[in-house]
Amino acid sequence: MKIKSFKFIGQILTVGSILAVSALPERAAAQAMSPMRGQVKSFTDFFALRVYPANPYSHRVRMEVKVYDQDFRPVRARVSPSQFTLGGRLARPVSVIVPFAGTKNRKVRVCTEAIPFPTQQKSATTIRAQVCGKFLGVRVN
Amino acid sequence: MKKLIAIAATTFVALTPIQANSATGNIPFSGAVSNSCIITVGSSGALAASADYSVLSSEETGGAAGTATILTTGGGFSLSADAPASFSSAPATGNTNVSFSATYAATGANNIPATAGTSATALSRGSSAITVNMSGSKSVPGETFESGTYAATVVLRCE
Repeated sequence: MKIKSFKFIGQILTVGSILAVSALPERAAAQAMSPMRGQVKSFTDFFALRVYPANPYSHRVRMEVKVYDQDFRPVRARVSPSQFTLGGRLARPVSVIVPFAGTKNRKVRVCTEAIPFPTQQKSATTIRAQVCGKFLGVRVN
Repeated sequence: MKKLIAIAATTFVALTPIQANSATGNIPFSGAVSNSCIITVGSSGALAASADYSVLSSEETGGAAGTATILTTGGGFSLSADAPASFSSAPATGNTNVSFSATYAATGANNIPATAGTSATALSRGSSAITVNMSGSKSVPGETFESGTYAATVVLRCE
């Protein structure tokens, strides 16, 4: 029964995330991530948002999207897809569903970072780029 | 005389630009640039040991800073750098009693002197060249880094 309820909630959230997209800015080409600021209102225990990580390089890059709270502690959010390979100069949508976890408002950081390919990890000291957007979820009821 | 006038009139008509009944139409264009931040990682850094082998740093002789470029399309963003918690690759005692730090500096749209990575700096709109340095220091006096290959990753963050 709980599983069925969860699936139903998931379907509602999927619809909710699509509706939330209309309130967010359009994506643009060759950007690491957009939007990078946003406020989402929700009637449920979750809020959904959609971000567009982009690969500014001309070659493909493996990317990961992670969700953190204000203190950079990981948040148990549903990110779909959380890891993916993106071709050069491309962007793709990623849905993020965040639980309010009993709070009325919740601020989260949604971060996009590149995962070095195995062959790239052998170099001595690398820089991992992380671009984080700040989002506020507001529970309406 | 009449013929002459007729020829002159024909020539005049031939030389006069054709006046078409023209109409103008405005074709609108629109576009949007979202407020965003782009990081393009450049070269990796290199660590070198200090004379007493108690420090591995990109600022030691033989070391090199890592580079990146940051482009912001608007205001409200800040830059910071997280030092690694440990070497991702090191000999057996490589991560024992080591404290890490990272610094960053920028030139271009933002001129930022060497700043501790933990300190976030507000970014102005535009493109900036970033240099990132890191170091690992043995925190116990007298300890030294063992021979071997060391690797670490600094997280450069724009938020």
